[in-house]
Amino acid sequence: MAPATDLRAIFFEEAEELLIALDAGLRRIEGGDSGGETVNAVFRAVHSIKGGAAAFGFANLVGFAHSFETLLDDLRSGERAADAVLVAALLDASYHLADMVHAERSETPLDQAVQQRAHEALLAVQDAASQRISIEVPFAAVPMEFAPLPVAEKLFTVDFAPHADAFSAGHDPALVLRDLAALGRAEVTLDQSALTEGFDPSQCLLRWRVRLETDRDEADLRAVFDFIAGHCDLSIREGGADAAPAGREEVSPVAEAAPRPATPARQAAPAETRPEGRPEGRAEPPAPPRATIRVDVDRVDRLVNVAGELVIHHAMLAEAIVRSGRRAETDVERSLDQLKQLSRQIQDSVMAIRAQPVKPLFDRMHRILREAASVAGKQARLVIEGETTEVDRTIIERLADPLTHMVRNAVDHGIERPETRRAAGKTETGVVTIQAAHRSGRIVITLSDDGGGINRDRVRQVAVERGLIPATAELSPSEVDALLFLPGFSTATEVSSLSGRGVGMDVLRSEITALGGRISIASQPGKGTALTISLPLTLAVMDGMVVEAAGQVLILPVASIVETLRPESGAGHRLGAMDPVVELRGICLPVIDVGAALGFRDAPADLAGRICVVVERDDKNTVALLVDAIHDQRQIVIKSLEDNYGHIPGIAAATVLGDGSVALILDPVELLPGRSLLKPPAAPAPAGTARPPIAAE
Amino acid sequence: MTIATGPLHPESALGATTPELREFVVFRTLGQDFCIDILCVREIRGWTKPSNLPHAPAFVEGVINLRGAIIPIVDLADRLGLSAIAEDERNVIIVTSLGEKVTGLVVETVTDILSVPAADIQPVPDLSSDELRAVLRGLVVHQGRLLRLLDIAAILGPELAA
Repeated sequence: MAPATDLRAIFFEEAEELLIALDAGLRRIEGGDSGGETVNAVFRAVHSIKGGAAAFGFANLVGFAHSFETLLDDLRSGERAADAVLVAALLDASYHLADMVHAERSETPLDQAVQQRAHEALLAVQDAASQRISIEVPFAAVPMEFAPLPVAEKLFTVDFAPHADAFSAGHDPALVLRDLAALGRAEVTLDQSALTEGFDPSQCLLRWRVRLETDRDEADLRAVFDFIAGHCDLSIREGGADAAPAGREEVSPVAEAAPRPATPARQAAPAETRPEGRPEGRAEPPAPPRATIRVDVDRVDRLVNVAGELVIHHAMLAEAIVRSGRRAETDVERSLDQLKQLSRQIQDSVMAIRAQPVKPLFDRMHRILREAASVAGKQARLVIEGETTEVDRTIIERLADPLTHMVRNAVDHGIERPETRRAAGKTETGVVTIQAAHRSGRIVITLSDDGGGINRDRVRQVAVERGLIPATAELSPSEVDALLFLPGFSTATEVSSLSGRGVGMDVLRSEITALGGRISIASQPGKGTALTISLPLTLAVMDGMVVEAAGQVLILPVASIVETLRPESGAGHRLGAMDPVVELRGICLPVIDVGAALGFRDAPADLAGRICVVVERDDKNTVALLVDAIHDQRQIVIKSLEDNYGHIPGIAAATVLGDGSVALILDPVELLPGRSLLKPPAAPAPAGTARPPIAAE
Repeated sequence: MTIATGPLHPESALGATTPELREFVVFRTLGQDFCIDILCVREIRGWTKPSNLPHAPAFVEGVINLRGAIIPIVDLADRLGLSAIAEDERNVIIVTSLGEKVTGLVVETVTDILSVPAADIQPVPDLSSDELRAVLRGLVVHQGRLLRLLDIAAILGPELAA
């Protein structure tokens, strides 16, 4: 039944938001803010989930939420203080509640025993602590700080009389009135008594009286008139018009009888249809919710796609006009320029729709950290910075797993045991910090801990034992750190349930690389470890350099390009029969011929006349990619090859060029000779074989 | 491999429960006539030069832009073990959709859209080429032309690209 399904979907969506609010509220309580409004918000969230769950007959969920509510009620009524035990219990309960909601959503029932245990734990806290309060704290009434009640709406009377020259000074009283009306509920009365027959329409002869019910103060009201202040008479009084001193000069007798319905003035209509203003100025910890709408992600994605098409077709149109030789007509050119700007704006706006703050993702890590710490027998807390940083939702979705992994790693391998920390002169509770920031068109996420840092001797030893490096290798500290990313590397002496199965860091790295990101690690012995990942802001567009190799037009991601150079004849050297290298300021870089790496041609003997594009790999290795020409640098729309075809080694995706043809986007990491050059090109389809010929891998 | 001489059993080729008419798109490539189920065909469009794909099987000519989607182009003749058809502006691309995947087939020309009673579809005789047998689903004789009924799913199986 479709409607029931819809309602269910809405319930779960709302529950999801309520769970987020619940989590945020609990964390504020944990942080010491057990004020009335915070507790109320938490209570409301649980209560709403309970109500919704009851409507759908999720009995377990209702039962648990009810106990949860009871506990919160004790807190709300001041019977209990928000001590560490209670907060921990509340957090655990909220996690369990989230699990229960997810279980109902996916229709996979939770383990009964787990439910039982969680519920009992909740009830135990309720009983134990209520006893404790009655014994240890005889005066059980804990003082509660209640947040101030919502500020009562005040009534202002504003008399506004623009000077006759207000129009000529460029003012429009309608705009001022509109802004004023946005502050609250306004009742506008127009005084048009100054209008005489044959009046001069260039002069402003109208006056207004506005009765405004608002929670703002007078300064906010005055701010509305800032611009027009020099060209009007203004009086703002608190209270109704009746309280106003009678016979003010700028108030006409007509408008005096304020409570009666407004004169049918033009301005009255917009003022009344305006929704009530939101309290924005108050210093309340949670930002006021902004008006939002729920939109199906598919619709947004379709819009993103169409916007991308628009950009492409603009380019096609521009090229077609150039070809037709009409470029000289300036109006064509001007329209084209405007079209270009508009389509770019549409694309930016559409991308902004998909951009989301990383906060929900980061907030999820609180739970991961808590659980990881309790399994590992360590104490840790999470500090989040820059959680308002926005990034495309496709990236956020795919960041959850790597980030979870990183947090677990930080707890398991980074943070030391409490006794070790004490011995080292640190606080027993370790700190894991997640920071997000925008940096030059990318989002940079750093996860750091204040733990023991990487034990480089141990890493080295393990790497030698596993044959990953020769025993005689001389490695710089950062090179040793980078060994952690090698496949199958794990220094944990015992495999723990959290991490340490040796599939950690290399998997993490490939996940990040798959997103077009880079990951690096830095460590200071005794002080901690920091993992930094840098990601593109979106997976839909990027800056690309249009190059040509072996007659094929290809795109190189600008982000990975370090520099380009034109080698002179004889600049290339050869190591053995194959592997050419080129010297760049004393450093030898391996040269990969793009055409050959993709199987389009044999590697050319001489580098002269071609161009080396120096690209950086994730692990800071640089290689020179040999191309025949560089055509252009432009923003390109990334199109998946994998939707209809599949993955090709060395190719990240595809894009559509201005002429409508397809160009492949190179993946410099996979283009390395070790990965793809040595791979034999796919054999041509042998006719009559039993199995259809398939592409290499 | 001998050609079957016994009585033909049309049902065996298609399953017995398809008495209704079936519609096919009929096309010609390298002098042979083929047909495919019209339900797999999304559109038929003129020739567009595809961009080469590296590390692709020879029968994959490349990719083209179909209103924003990148779709691979397969030379049907080459895929069937015949030789590749000559690049020609008059070639046409039959855009097929199979599940979520959209693929273009290059053929020389599309000739008809044909309704055939399921009973008129003849089974495939024994063939020397396993390759062909894997993709042929039947034969239709129509106005003196022999139409080879192809199974798009077998031609563009998941193995098209890993």
